[in-house]
Amino acid sequence: MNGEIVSKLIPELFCLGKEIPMNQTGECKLQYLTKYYGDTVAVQQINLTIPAGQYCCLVGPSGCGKTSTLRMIAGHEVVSDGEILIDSLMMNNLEPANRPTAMMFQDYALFPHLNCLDNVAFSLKMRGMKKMERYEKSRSLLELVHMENYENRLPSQLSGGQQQRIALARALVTNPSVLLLDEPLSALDPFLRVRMRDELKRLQQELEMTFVHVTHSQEEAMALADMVVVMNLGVIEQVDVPQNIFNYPKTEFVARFIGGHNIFTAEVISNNNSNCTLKGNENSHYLLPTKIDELGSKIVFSVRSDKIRLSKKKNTLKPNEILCLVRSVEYQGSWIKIVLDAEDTEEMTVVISEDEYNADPIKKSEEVTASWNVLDAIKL
Amino acid sequence: MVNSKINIFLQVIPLIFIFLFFFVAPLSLTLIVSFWDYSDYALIPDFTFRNYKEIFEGCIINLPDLCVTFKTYLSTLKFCFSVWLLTLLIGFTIAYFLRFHVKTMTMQIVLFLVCTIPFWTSIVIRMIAWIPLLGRNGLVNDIFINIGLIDDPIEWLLYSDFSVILSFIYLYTLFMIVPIFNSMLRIDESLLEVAYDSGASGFQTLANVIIPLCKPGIAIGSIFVITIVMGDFITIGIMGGQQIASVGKIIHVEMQYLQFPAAAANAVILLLVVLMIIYTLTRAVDIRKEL
Repeated sequence: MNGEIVSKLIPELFCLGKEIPMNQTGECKLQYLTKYYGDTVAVQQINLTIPAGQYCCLVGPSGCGKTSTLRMIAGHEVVSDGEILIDSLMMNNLEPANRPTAMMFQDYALFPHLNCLDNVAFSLKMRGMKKMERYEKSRSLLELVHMENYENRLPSQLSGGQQQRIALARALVTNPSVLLLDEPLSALDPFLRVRMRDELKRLQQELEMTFVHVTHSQEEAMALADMVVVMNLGVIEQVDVPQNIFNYPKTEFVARFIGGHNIFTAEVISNNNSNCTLKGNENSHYLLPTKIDELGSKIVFSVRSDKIRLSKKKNTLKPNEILCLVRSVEYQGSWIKIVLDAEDTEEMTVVISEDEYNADPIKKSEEVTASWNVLDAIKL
Repeated sequence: MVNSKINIFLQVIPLIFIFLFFFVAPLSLTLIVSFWDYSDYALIPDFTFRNYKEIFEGCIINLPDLCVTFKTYLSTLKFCFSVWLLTLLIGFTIAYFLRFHVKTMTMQIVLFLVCTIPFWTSIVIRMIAWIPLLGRNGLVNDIFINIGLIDDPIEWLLYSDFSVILSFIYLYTLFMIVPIFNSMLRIDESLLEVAYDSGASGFQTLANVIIPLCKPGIAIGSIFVITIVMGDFITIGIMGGQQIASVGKIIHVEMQYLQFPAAAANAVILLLVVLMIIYTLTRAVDIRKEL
């Protein structure tokens, strides 16, 4: 399923109150973009429009094609088929240096024999700029990333976070319209990761530049992106703002990948104009707030982990209530994660607040009733 | 506590012994003997500067005419420089090809080992094998005459500067390939990608990224080649038809005449010259990060 975005929906859907100024550069359009490695298809005819000035995250498991897509936009991989357009100009045959893009590599790839200033000034030196001029420009960029006091240090003398800032400065020195980031936060420890995330977001908002950020962490994508592109096996599963990806996943893959969802399978037994009733394996019944025509069809739907309530009372089961067996209770600080065995789904995960748990602690191997609101079930 | 200190001491003793016996002792002996006197038939333990004076006899006074010592050193340095330059160019190219153009690691190692095959033969045989190839009636001349390229055999193929340099390159290019290849292995491919992304042409990448990062390897290879060539007399002797002077030859001849103090003095001077060259090299390049 392609994630084709109609241009006029963009301001409403993706801005969240952010105006896109006129004449903003950095709109990135991928049309039927395909990549073969020998006989294997890594990217299958994807269509995507990234509006100018947006922070776009390509997210998915390993092998989904997100890095190949990024590298094709950058010019480091040859396009097998399809077009890449930045600001309506065809990029396919341009060298990376001639495109209005700049890439930040995963392990930063700073030149170990050059100090920070020379590292940042490298692309300018390759273009033949004079020393005074390129040092001046590089210094202003070092200021932007708050590294102006480190200009004479070598990369080996910097910490991971500092190296990343220099790599960022080096990428920005050529005034690109689109910044491409290849898993920039993977090499950092969790605490630093969160801090650098804030810095990236701040920088992007300050520069109003299009950022295309590849990551395998959905948490990162949700925190950073204005626009999340979930990819799987070379195709785009869903393109949306983070809130919609989490609240209204379109496919089973997205629901599983994004986490915090439980997937149920059941059969339609009756329907009316606004909802339908499904029957599971045992005597469980589910109400879905969508209209499905075909009776007897197998439907997959998901419920968020934090929208499920657990109770020890054993009454007759109403729709959207099921009996489950507690398998494990995990303490996570301000909330508790409970994994249960239930019908019609693989492991069910429920998340409840610490207070709720302490009111009536649930133990392992207890039988409890799980229930949720009709509106919290989403058809996939 | 004391036990571990004795242990450490005992563990270091073999190396100290080898160092003292095979390095410090001979070197000190040479230095001491270089200050001895000698007559036609005996060595006279003494402390005299006679040997050093004779080496540099008339060297300053006779300028711009060069004395024997200066001429010999110039000749040897000439060889040293040309061999160094050519082994560097050839060695760098081969190492570059091995590292960046050969795809799999396996092939890299295989081809690398192929380069070392000549070393399975004795160095003397490898050297004199050039003689039937390059001589007046040798293979090369025969082929050229037969295909009509020339009428008379080329004289300067053998027993000339050409054959000496050729022989040196053949014998010692591997000493350049190994450290440079090692340096190149440490260059991450992502650095080349960054350079490409920044708009660097092939040549710019070479000059700005690869060569600076190979400097330690180049320095180590250069040290190998320079020290070997400066002290050599066998290769220069045989491939030069015993007609070409070299510092090593002077020492060799003096030893044959049992003039050990003179030979020792020449050896000390040679050592100082080579040390100066290496010192300059290490000032230019920091080798320590390679070790």
